[in-house]
Amino acid sequence: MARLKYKTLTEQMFYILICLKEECCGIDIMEMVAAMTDGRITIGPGTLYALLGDFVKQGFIRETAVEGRKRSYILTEAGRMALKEEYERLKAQVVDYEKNMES
Amino acid sequence: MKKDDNIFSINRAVNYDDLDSAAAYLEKMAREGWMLKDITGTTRFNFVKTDPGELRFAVEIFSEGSIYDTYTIESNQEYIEYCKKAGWNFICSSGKLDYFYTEDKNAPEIESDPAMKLKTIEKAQRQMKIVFPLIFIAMSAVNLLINLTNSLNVMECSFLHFSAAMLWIFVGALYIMMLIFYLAWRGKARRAVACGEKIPPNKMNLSFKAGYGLIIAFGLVHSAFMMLMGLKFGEKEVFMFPFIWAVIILLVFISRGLSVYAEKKRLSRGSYKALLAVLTVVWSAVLITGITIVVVLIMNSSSKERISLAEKDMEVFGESDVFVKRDQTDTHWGHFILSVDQYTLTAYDKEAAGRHDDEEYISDEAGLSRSWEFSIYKPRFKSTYDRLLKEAREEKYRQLSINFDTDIAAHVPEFESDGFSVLSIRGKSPVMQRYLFCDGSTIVYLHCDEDLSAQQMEVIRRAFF
Repeated sequence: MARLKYKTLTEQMFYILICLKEECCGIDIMEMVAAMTDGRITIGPGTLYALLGDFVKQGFIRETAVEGRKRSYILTEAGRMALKEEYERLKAQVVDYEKNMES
Repeated sequence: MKKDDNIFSINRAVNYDDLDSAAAYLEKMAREGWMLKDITGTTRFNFVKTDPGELRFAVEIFSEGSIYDTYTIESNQEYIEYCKKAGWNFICSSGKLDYFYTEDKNAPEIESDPAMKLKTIEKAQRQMKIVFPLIFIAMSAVNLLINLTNSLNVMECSFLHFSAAMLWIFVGALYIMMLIFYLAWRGKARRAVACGEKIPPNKMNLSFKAGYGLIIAFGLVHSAFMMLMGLKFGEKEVFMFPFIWAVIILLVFISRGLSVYAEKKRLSRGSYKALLAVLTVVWSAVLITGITIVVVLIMNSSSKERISLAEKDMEVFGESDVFVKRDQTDTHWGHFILSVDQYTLTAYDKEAAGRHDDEEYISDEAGLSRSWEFSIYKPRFKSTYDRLLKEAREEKYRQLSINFDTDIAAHVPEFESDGFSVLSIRGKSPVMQRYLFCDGSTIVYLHCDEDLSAQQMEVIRRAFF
């Protein structure tokens, strides 16, 4: 069931995981994603908080430090795999598009 | 509602499946110059006077929160930090809900994934909108089943039992409706989310005033109706309904008072739950004790109407050496659609007992020579009369059914006239004999330990018909 939940990642999940390739503070992810996508993707603070909790449970990320109420996280191997899978899936989509629509 | 120059308080119901309307209300109040300050309990909104302004409000479910939280718990603080970072200022928390405002028109929605938001709402609603309705629907179904199979006669005898069954049907129907409305909204919300749209609000919720008003109005109407019908059918027990409703309505206010107290004392989830458990136990005890006292007082004060045999007729049941006495354990079952009176006539052998005093004969087993058990059925309608006889033939078991197989019973010819008949099942002596006296409207069922003489049957006919 848990595996099924993240069979495909939403855009927001995808970018959160990318941000965590290096250790960073959870709360900073909102700004990082906005900057990375030129404001195309915004992640609400509630959604971010909930997803970080889910990802830890899922083993995609792990907590590295707690400073007051600020927690830092980093991507795990499982998270890296999930991200990679999603990347492959998106790439396949792009290839299919190009093959069929741009020939 | 309290309104002075600087503070304004109002009770409002906030529903998890319609949080946007709560936010819209707060925005409207801000435009009118009233800013939310805090919330007492879970329903009392306190506003302070400010300059009117355009503010955005957000009411969000903090999924790790609990309705038993009396203050903003530590993990909630972290969530609040996230929201602050995104430009949302925290106002207060109340139960599972957090209240925020921002002046920034471009601040992102706190929940930016509608699918996740819907899941959070569904989880928060599950107990109230699915589990509770299912429990009450099941209880109502079981109650109805028992009433229709085992207790139908009791329900016909007693308006109290009848109305209790009706109340269960009402409760069942109400919760079925609630469940249907909720599931319909949930279906709609899930479809909307799948299409990438916003979650539609559930408009089938009662406002605070409507909710409380309905409970009080229903309590008043129900109590008045029950007392009226109780008087009509001679059931004074229904006077316990005003008491029951008063206790229920009082409980609503006490539990709200308790939530304010818990908040003031910053009780932990566990202590608050324990306090509520204690309240539940105490209140159940109050309710049960109260009902018992009311019923006992009424039972003792009311003289029950019973069909009684004249003293001279009693003599006919026994021979000259037999003393006949009505038993103490007679039962009377109501006057609603059907009345059933059950009593036992016990005969004591004067010689064997050697005494004449009534009270002492009862306890003196040695004097017991024979007994007759009467059940007198007086239905208000012909259809009930017919059904009773049909059930007697089918030997259908009910709490107050007639235990008599009319198919194998023989008619007593000398009593066949003008719709009056006597049926008897004669067992092999000295086995108990059973008789059924019917006249088309009343049925008397007699279980006795000897063959009745024509004279004795005539006495019964005179006494009951």
